[in-house]
Amino acid sequence: MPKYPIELKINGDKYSFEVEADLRLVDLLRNHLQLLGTKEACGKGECGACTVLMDGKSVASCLVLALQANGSEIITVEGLGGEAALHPLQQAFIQYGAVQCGFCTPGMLMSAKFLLDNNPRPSREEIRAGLAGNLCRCTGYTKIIDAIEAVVEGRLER
Amino acid sequence: MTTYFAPSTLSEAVAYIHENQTAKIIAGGTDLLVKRYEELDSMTGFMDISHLAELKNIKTGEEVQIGAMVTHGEIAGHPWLLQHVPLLCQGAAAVGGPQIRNRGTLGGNLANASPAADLAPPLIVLGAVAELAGPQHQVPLEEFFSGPGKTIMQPNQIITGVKFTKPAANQGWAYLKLGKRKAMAIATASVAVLVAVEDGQLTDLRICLGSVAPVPSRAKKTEELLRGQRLDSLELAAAQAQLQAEISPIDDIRGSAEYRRQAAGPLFRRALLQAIKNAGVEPDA
Repeated sequence: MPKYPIELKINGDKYSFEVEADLRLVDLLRNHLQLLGTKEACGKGECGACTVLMDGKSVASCLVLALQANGSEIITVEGLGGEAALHPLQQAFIQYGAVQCGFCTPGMLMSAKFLLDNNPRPSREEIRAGLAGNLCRCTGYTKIIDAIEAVVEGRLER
Repeated sequence: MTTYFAPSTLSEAVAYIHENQTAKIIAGGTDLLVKRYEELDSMTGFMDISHLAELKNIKTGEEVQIGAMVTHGEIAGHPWLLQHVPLLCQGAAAVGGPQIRNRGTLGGNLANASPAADLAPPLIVLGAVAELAGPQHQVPLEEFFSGPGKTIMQPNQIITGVKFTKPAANQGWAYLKLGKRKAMAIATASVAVLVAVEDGQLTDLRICLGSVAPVPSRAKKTEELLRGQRLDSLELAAAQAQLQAEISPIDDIRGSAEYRRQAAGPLFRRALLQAIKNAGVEPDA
């Protein structure tokens, strides 16, 4: 199987790879870089667990070929913030108990980030629409929406 | 062996696909990679046109032209389109969820030729023409689809965009979609209506339905029945019955044929009344 060169920026760092045509972005992140925050569940763009930002836009990384991400800038949940410096959304998810099993959480955070980057003051309805591409099989939607609303309204404890 | 080629110009793309007709043209990947998931080994190669700048323009004015690589998200949020062609924006906003709209393209939605494609009914009532390259060709979108997943495109052709005339001020519109949930749903039935209203009269209208026939289809007999009727004496019950008689839905995972036929009637009625209301006239119904 032929391999093709790509260069891209992931969480601020530059990388180059040689990849096969059928490698997906989610495989590149998880298997080549061990960025295991990005989850894969359905593999068909239905569940949103693999959501990352590609050039500032939320995408299902299971539906993007790694080769299609050539030249782009990717942000995964690891690039959002870490234990040393949590992103306000991550802080809010902890504070509001918006995490149950945790599998959907990275995707939820990245969809929330895309929403707030484009609409810093969404209504509760707009938050719901912004998360429409993400499933939580624990059905913990209320607390997830509460957490994002807290960030929007600046109600986070420091 | 899966190969990959990303042309940097349309002419490069046309030349490549002419030589490599088994290569799959990939854009946003939101349909193709879902299918590919189940048939990993049947892909011989990809030609990736998602980066083709030539196909990413939106030309506004009396004649609107939208490039095939414009995404659903770009259409749904385009300020000029929102003001002048909100019908199309509503169709684009009905596609998938945010992640799908950020990748999925107009060209992909049409080339994939799903009977449920959300952009097809709005574009068909707008009278859109599909523009193809390879052997260059222009075809009314209404004649573009030939069956579920099938179009009249030759293996060496690429859809480069659509064009249509900007709707007039006396026109009203609606796009309604029936699905299992608001997000990510593939339509069980959908309907786009475009009406022209003058002096309390429905002077012209186009109706196009999705998911109730092998291809997105005009309900021409229903249009004919309603054309010229006065808004204060619209024969809504007769129109609804005519519409239900001229569609040909099937049973599938999203709904039975009978359910679709039943549901399409009121869905159309609501869309018609909404379109008339949009044209600035309140119907007496």
